[in-house]
Amino acid sequence: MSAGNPRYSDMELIASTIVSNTSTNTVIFNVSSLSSSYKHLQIRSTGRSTQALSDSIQWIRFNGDTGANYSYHWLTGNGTTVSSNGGTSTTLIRAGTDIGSTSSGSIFGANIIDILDPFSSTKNKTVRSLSGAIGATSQIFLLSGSWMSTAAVTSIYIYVNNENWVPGTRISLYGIKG
Amino acid sequence: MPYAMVPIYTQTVGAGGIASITFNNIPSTYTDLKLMASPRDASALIGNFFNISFNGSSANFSARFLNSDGSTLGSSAAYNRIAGEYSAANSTANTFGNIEIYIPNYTSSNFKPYIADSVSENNATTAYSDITAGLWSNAAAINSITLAANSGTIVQYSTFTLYGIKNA
Repeated sequence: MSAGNPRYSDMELIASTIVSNTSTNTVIFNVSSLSSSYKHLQIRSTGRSTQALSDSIQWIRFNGDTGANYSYHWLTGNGTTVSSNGGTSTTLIRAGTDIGSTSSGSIFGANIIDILDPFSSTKNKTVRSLSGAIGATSQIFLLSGSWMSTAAVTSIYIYVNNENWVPGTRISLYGIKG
Repeated sequence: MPYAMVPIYTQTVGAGGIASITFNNIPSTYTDLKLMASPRDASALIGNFFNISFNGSSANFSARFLNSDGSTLGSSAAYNRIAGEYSAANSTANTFGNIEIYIPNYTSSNFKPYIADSVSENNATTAYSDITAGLWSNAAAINSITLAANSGTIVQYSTFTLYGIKNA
């Protein structure tokens, strides 16, 4: 591919946040204007938090809904054991994993979160995530989550659990056409 | 200008539902294919799964999956065409599954691998998560893909989008 001949895609970067301080624990993407442009949304992130654990949970909430209107499940392995669990009637979706402060420096987690048909007015919103963190204790996850609302998604809140992200954490939102 | 990931076609299931969906006449101009699906099933189950076919053929498939139901884990080779699990009628109302199927080198003269990761959600202990690796032992280029519900009917508002992926 020669210079001056850029490649385009129907998967487009919408917004990206790169944390530059240790006082940020929430990223909000406003997506109400995107419904006519994209069919699906994807969030890609690499994160590390100040939480004094090997890894931290990354949570998602839609449209600022703080009610018990979510559920989530996960399948996980740590190199020796596998397990599965979840939560019902929760106030957030467990959607990813970030490295915590007790893991060695310079290590970050990785997450890809797919939200299909987020603008549908007939479906609850189902999230699928692939998530991994190789830190003091290492885990890989296949996560699922549901926001039990048929309202179109207008905003996506991403939180780290109880602490803040460290500089270098990046959370990016992509739109996928269809 | 070339596009790296292009939607080829989107199908949305109408009223009355359908037993399977098929993408025919897939162009040979891409490198890989990616299918993203948001389906629900009418079967009296919490979750159902798809069986995949290529070019109208259900022969010469093999697959392995790793899955969980929210508490119990499993891995099996028993379902040789499995390609994603998704929510069915006994799961929380209006909840649809979330599936991604990736088929690399679909026009190659080699056998055709595919991978799928899928989830079905449910506001209860039982919900299915699944990772599948499959193989179609056929040298033909893929020109059609069918996803058939293992039982029952795929319901209205289920969506399936096929993407072509270029690498050059």
